[in-house]
Amino acid sequence: MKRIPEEIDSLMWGIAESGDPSAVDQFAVRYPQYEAEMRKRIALVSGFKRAKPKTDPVRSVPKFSPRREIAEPRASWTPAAWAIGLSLAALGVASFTAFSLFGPKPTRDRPPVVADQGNQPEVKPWGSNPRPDVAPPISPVDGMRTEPNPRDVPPLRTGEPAYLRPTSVHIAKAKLADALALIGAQSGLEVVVAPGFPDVEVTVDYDGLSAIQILQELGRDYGFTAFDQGNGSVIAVPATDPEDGGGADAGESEDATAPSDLTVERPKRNP
Amino acid sequence: MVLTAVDKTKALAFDDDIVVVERFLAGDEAAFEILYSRYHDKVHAIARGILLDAEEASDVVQEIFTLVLRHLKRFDRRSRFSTWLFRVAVNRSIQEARKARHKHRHVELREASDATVPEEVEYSDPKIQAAMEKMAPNDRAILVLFYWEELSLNEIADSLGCNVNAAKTRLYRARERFRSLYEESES
Repeated sequence: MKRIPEEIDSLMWGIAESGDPSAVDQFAVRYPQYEAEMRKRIALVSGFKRAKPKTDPVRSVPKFSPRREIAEPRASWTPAAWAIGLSLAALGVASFTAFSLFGPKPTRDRPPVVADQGNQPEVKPWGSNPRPDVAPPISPVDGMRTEPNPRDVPPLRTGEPAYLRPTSVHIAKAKLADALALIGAQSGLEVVVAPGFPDVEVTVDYDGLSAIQILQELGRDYGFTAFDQGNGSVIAVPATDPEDGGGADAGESEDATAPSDLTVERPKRNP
Repeated sequence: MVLTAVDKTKALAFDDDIVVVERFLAGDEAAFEILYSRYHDKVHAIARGILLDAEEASDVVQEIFTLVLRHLKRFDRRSRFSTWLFRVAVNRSIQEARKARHKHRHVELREASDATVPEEVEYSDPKIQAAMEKMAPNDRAILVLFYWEELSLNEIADSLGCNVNAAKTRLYRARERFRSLYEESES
């Protein structure tokens, strides 16, 4: 049998569903080759319509009894959704593990340090992050978070200048003028050496004294006086030896070149 | 969902059920009984046509009305209440039919000869019954809505959740499958 054209097929279904006898007759006249097929479809449709289950008019509608549990349709999980879900879960586990292993350790409380208003860099206690929302820096070497070595922390500042704090000086066989300059540089003290300073070789070995005290001790040993100016500078004035014809008497305690209001002591030389 | 006054007026003009729905939503629980008794037989016929089992259909009808009771607030009033109800009925019945199909296959595999035979729908023409049993539940659904419940293609489209053209195509295919299966059983 040849395939029925779509429009005729559609027309046959329409006539069969309408059940109009005159429409059937007209179709048969116009398309006699499809009349048999038309009759089959009419039988099919009417048979199907008749097959509708009849409701018993005597039977009453049963009482409505709501169901407690109904398995409502669930969203179907496509493979892509599964893949995304598993990826997110894996990412979560990885993040947790990484954070647990490499995350910031609990900060230890340390007493705060009172800093002065000087020019040295401000030192704050470890753990006092000024921006708590920013993680501590990560070492580029091993990716581990590091705490600074206590030795790397700059010296804590107090209100006392460095040249007044106890220090140690060890210099062997140096010119006296060089030794004074070195002590000044180490302690931040400006040392002004007056003319006529003795050019002697000295060995300096002091512990637990401030720079000014060391200079004064040296003055006693090598014949000069260290005048503390009170502003971070010291003037080192050589004592005048009357035997050298300096113009001062041996018993005089005042140096001709020294400021008039200062007392110059006779230096004590080392044997 | 916010409905315009025009939408609401249109819906009310064509659908008396909306008044009953509004009464129920306002707290009148007896109003639901009205909807239930008004549509029980139609819903049962749809379920029975899809499931091909009268007893199972009765059970599913109770589930369908339970779902309607639970989700009546979601009814947006853009379509007739009956169309919305049939959509729930069709979806639920197809879902159950698929489950039942799986169950029946399982029973056949185990050759459980003593298994209780479900109370199947008795058709006047056994060939129609044979063809219907071989069809997929969604094909059965569209034939039931069109030939038994005599819904228009627009109403079928609403009930199946598709547009009219899709409904037309689905009807055409279902009809052709039915014809093919019917003729197979004839020969």
